[in-house]
Amino acid sequence: MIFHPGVLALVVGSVIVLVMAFFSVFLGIRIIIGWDITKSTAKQLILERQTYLITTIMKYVLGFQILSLFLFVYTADDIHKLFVGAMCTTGSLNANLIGWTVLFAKIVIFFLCAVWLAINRVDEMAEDYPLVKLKYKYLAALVPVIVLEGYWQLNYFLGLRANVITSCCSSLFSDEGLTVASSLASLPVTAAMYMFYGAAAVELALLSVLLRKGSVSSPLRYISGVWSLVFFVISIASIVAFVSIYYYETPVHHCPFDILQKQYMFIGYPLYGSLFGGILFSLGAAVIEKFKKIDSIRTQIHHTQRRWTIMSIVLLIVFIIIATWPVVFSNFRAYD
Amino acid sequence: MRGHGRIIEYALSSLSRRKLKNLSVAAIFSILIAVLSSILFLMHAYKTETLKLLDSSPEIILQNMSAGRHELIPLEYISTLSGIAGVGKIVPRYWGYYYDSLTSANYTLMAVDADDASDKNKQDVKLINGRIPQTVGECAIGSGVAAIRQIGLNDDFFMTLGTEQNVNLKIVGIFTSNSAIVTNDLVVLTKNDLVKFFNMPVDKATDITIEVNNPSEVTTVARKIRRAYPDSRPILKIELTRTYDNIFNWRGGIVLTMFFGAIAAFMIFVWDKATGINARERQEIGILKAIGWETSDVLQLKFWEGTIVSLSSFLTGLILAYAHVFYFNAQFLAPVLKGWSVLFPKFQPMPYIDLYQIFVLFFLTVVPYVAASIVPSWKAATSDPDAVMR
Amino acid sequence: MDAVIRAEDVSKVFNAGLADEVRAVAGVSVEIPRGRITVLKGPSGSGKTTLLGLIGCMSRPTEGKIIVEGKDVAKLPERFLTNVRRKTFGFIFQHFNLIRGLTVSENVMLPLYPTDIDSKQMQQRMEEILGKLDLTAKLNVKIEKLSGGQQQRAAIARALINEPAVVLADEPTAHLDTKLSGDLLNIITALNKEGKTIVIATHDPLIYEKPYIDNIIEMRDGAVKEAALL
Repeated sequence: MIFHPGVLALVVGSVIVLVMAFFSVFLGIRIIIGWDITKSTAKQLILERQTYLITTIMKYVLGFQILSLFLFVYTADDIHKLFVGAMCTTGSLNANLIGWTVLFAKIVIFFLCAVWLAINRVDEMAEDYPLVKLKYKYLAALVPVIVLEGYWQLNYFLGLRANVITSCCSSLFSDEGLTVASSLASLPVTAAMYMFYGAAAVELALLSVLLRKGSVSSPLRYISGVWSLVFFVISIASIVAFVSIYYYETPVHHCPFDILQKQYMFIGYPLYGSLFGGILFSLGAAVIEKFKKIDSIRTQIHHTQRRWTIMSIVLLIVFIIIATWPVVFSNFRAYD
Repeated sequence: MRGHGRIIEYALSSLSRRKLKNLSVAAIFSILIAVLSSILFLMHAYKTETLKLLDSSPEIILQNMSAGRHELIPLEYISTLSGIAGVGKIVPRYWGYYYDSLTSANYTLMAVDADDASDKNKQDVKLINGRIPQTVGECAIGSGVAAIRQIGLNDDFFMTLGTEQNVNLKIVGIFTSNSAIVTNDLVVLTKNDLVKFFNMPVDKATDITIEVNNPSEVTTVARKIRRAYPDSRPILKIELTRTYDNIFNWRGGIVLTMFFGAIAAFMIFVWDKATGINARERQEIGILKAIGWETSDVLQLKFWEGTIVSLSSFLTGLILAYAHVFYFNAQFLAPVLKGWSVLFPKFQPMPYIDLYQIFVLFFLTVVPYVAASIVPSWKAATSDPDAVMR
Repeated sequence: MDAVIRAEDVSKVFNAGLADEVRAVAGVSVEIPRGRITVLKGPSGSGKTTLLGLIGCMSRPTEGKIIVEGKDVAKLPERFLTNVRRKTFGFIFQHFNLIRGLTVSENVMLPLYPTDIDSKQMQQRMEEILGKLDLTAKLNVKIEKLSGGQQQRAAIARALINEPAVVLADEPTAHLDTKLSGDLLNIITALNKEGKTIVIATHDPLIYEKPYIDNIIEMRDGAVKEAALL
């Protein structure tokens, strides 16, 4: 399996990301040890310049991670023909135990990298770089996750045997299944809709209250951060439960990946893109709330939070519109 | 945002002021991408071509096994097989391999049933110059065979397996190169000639093809056949498809791995080029920093320079590979891949664009390039602002 | 006295801890008065260029304070130091430091490229400044096609594009003949009349012997030998 070109590309990508992550942690640890903003020695200047290198590397890591997430889904889709019974990406991911784990790990790493960049951004706004040590400790904690993900991914592909009989998505998502995915799919459409629009209303309400409140610091920020994650999970569940079937116009096809394909006008990209982006901005705004107690960045954080909250609201509204579009405008009815 | 646009503009002008250096990097990168893409495109074309042919093959091919090896199959099986529910048409096939010591090549010999030939004719009419053999003493050959033997239509074609077993056939048809992927090493002759040539017993065939009326019952039918003849091996079309798919992916992957050395060498070259920025470039970055550009502005400039170079090389490479594979029949690559078989098929692949492959290629080429250029550009960007004053 | 910049006990050490350690500036305290012309005078190697760089936020001092418009910038990370420099200072370098292959207008606008300024506004500013310096005709000429004097004026235009409060010049007459040096001085005094603070590091008597030079700081071996506000 390992010689499939797509698998090769993924493994190469993981190795590159790992090397870059290790390198930046190595630099980060040196910074944690040697950092002293009150000195303007040559050594401090070198460390300061290395922060630019780490920031640059992490931006690339995030970029590669996003690409790798897509490539992973595409590759799973491309190899589904090799498994008896696998009709699509879902089938390939079911082919062994860690297929889904790898996908989740990639999503988690995406969020972790993005949150790191959010903290980094806030830190760089203050003249005394108040979060320097914290952010590099966080970075060091990130590396084991990246290692684990690379290891799982390798194991997933090494463990694939082309003749393994797997369940395809229609049986994975069929009502008799016991998996989480199948219970998502068996959610009654109307119930799923109530849940989704309810959660969306709460999310948007929280964000707009925070936007209006402006500079007042408030525990609501944290609540909105946590709720964003809840809303993210509910949204993914809803895509499986009802958004997908409205786009496919068949009551049993719940695959969350097929909407990325050409026959559905690539609608999956703006759908997932706006969801991930919206969640990310609201999560970032919540994470940096904690640093408001530091004087040198308080005002900067207010501005940043405001910007990110607006971004989040806009993106989530776009997401909700895309998810709702076929429900309103297609002739397909999932219930009657 | 405005600054962003102007930095991109400056990146373009900066690249154009060092045309020779940047063009040489881009040219080498493009060629490398073109080679990699050619391999993937060609493999993919082979794969789709093969799978397309499999489409028209029967659902089940039944082979007889003896001591774990493929053995001729008794024709008496047919009556039992036709009794299984869901089974459609059953056809025994006669074929084999012949090693021609004269040309050191392996041919695939295949029989057409003289009675059945009229039926086959319709199907193959586009793929052949001449016709399918109809009577004893006639044959049709693949273009590879014709080329290696240097013979053509109406010539004589002689094969021998010792004094007893030899045939002298008249060539009545040559398969066109469009179908070369399957017919390249093929010799088609009548059943009688083949049976005589291989000295096969009259009550046996090489294998039996079975059509199944309802595709979803294929596995059930196969299971029933196994029960009736535990010695037999039913090969399902779907299994074949999967195996071919796997093999072609594997081949592509192996070749890619072999070329990894080339990528690595290129990365070192890029590293070298980018780190060894010449005095003038260093001076320019020094000036930028002195007049108020910040380290991250220079990093952005370097990012755009890298992006412009790698994306334009990527596009050029893809276009080169596309032209190479689909308009020039992969002329430069074929000799390398020929090692796999003396009669390597020559065929005109159908042009296609596959986004997934482009994405894979992007990951294999642009991502390492970009990653390799991070540290050198950072080094350039963190020069002292007051360096130009010293 | 209203000082735009105050340096307090500033030192700059290169290659600290190594065999070739150099103390280019050692314990210097100076003040740059607002709206006047200050000359840093002294032979080459006396540390005046290094001091000019420190005052102009090009680099950070190893020790001491540098107070620009009331704010100590000595410990600022490069990112913020650059920001202060962008807003406050315009530099005229000894070797012009123009980028060959770019036109005059591009060279002049270059400092503003990464900023948030509107492109039209940037263009306008450039045309205005080049007009004042009599370079309008050379707007789209490649910089290397210009004469020495024109290049010097282009370099001055670039130093002014960010509308700085303080213009710093490092040996501005080193590569000019007497006539061009005179022209340069005229431009500089004109800028001073417009209210800009000027600091010139030079050992050219043509400059520091001019009667209208307000403030001369004489340096030797990295220290201030004599500071006189005339």
